[in-house]
Amino acid sequence: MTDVIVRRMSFSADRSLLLIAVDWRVGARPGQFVMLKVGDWPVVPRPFSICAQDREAGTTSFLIRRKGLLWDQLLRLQPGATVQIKGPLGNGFPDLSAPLLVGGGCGVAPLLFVAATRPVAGFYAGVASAAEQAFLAPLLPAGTVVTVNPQFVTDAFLADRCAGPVFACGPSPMLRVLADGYQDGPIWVSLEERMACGEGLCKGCPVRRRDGSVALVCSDGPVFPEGEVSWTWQD
Amino acid sequence: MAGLTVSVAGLDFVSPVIIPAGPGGFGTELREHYDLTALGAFTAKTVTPLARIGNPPPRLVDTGFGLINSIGLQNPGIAAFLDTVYPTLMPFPTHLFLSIAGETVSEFEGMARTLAGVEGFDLLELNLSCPNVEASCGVIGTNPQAVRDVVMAVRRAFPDRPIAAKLPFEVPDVSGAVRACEQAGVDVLTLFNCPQAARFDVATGKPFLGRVTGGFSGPALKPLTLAKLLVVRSLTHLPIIGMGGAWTADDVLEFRCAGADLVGMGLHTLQDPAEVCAIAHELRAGSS
Repeated sequence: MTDVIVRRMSFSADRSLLLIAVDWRVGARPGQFVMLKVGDWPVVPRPFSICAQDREAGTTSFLIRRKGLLWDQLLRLQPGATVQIKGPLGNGFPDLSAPLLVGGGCGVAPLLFVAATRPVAGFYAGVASAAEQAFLAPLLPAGTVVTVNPQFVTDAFLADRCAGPVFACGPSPMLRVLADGYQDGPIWVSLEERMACGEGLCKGCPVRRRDGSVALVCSDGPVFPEGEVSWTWQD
Repeated sequence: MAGLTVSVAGLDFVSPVIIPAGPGGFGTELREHYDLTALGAFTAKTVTPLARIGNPPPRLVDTGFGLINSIGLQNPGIAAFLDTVYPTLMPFPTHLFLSIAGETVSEFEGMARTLAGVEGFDLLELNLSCPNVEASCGVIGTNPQAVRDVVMAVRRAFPDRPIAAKLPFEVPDVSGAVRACEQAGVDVLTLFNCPQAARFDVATGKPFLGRVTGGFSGPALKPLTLAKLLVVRSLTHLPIIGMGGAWTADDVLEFRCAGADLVGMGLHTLQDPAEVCAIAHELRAGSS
């Protein structure tokens, strides 16, 4: 893994979200991710989607939710500290212009990167609290529809009767509801799964394809055409 | 640390550091993206007679100083492995070990017979102890008589290259299992597979893993592994591949102190194979 310096850290008012920028200028595609860890503990790195890259400043940002063993380590960091990353990993979103973006929770992170690289036809973001909404507001493009409940973001999106290609990221139940309710264009979903290596070695992040085969979220994804994904493990 | 020259079962190793079966996958990606020449050996992920899709997700849960995995022997089956994966590994830049698991003596024997006719790998490891499957291949290693039966059958079918037996961490009769391995013709002991472990989400009361329990690996395991290696070392002169908690170069040396000849670094391979290769290089044969 590569040592990188933390440049900036900012927390939502309820300290449920962290936006962290590190000095890392390796070019990445929207939808790609890195494995990140802080020192020796927890020993296994975590996957995080790339949220933004500032080529001028040479920084890359990640949006991280308060969760799991890594969070306490992140709280102890200060700008100037060192973290370790490996990446960029995964395939990223296809190079389509003007997609519709639908994200739930930290699923907005890769979509923010998409929106920074091309015009988008719409952005729907589901967040967990008003504090998160206020925290993300400066990052979201003008006109973004925000629901203060990640479960409602698909309802808001479907109610607008949009048409066209969709890029979506969030918890699997949310993606499944979106896929069931949207018939007016292709959907690409960026899947979330626990990972250890991030590069296809350990087979720890499986997703079942509709043809019965098993793909790996890290190396075959994390972005998949929704039509390929079986939302249940059993046939 | 002068001269970590290692000779095991007639093979010379450039370093005592190996990648054990599982964390490095089948080797295709590793061979393509990393310089493996400093490694003592690489063990390809276990293959079984027929394809297995593995366990349902989630398959991984972190424990801080370790990881619990529940992969479930996902593999394409030995025929597809030999047809499509194995040719991409040739020539392999260091010693290549293959790992097999079956549910019966005849399944092990059949795979061994097939592999006896396959050139290009140096050692056949029998996975007698996968903690993540319901099938009997997960418990063969706990029964000395079953170990003896499998190894004798494989020895007959695979006579010309070394065989290693990978035993479970929780083997109830260590001396019996070791004696069975010796008597049946094992050349190397691989010690140990991951012990069973579990974690629960206190918010839901449910287990983190789809299959509830998995195999534990990582630095937290090292002192437990070392104690068990000492016991086995006192029982046999067979070469030992030790694994279960080796994360640093010093850890490898500690495993050697406890009696291991070669040392597997599994979890560290997941973090970054290049770091494992760098440790292997640091501990290369003849280094001082």
